[in-house]
Amino acid sequence: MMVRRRGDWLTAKVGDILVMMSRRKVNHVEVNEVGVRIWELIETPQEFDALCGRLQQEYGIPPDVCRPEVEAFVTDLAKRGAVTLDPPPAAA
Amino acid sequence: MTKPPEELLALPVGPATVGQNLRRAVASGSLAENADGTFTRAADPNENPNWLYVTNGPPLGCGFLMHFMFRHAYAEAAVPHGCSACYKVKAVLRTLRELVAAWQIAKAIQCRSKWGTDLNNPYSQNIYAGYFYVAGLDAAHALFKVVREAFAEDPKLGPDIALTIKRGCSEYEAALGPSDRYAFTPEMAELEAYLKSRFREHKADHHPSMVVANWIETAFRIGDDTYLDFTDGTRLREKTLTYDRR
Repeated sequence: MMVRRRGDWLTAKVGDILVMMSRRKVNHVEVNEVGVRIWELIETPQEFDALCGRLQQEYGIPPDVCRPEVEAFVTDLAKRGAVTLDPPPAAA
Repeated sequence: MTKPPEELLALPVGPATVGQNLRRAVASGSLAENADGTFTRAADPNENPNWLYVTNGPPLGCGFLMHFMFRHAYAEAAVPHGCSACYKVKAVLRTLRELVAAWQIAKAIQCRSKWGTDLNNPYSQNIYAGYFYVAGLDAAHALFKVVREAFAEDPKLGPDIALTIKRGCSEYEAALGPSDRYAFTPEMAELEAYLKSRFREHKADHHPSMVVANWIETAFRIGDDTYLDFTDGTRLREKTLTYDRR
């Protein structure tokens, strides 16, 4: 699954509170530090497994915790129109 | 000795008794009376997630005192006894940058406070505000000094931030006149203690992220570009193209 940014969103940090906001509509998503990192990483479209691998490495999160949480997060972003989740490109 | 409930509810406040006021509020749907005899406020469709709270201190019970006692039990004809010692040090902030700086300072001050946008408050002419809650006027004056000094030392705030001391909620003065003329009786204290046991708090579920998103939306809409401090300089929305100049 490819995770790709969609639409036009920004991230804001106010005090210790992080939020992603749509630049087109009045819409926002609550995020944490890892969520912001995911958003940074998918500035270039990422394959889901590679994204999880990167986060596991950077934050020391076990795979069985990381994968479902990242999947839930990107699925929520997809519902809000912030990302698209596409099948991986077919092998040449 | 505690009076029986029917006697407490027969307390006249303005043109009606407290019991009559409560029955009217239930009939109108503003209050729900639960099977166990407790009351719950109906959800307020105008309630906006504008405030972040600093909970340095015991709860104040504003949900019970203002939203239940004042609005329904007293039908805006009396200020609750439980609010008799409530004073607020109000800070008026000019920009989102100042609001956030003041809120951060408030976290280190041992006093409950709330911070946010005051645009939906019909009694306020301010855009951003913070309120510290204290018991008694002497405590308010002491806190005023602490806040003034703390703000003065912060480069984002300085010594010119408007600070005032007010008593209770603005709604009270709007309904009943100047706050130095409020009257409180021991019967009110007894009644409020009784009704507190019959009140079930309605908690709105506002995430902090929703509040700060609203702050940024507000800043953008009023042309306060200090919100860019918090978005790495990214504009929330770009200006549209205009064609008025030739």
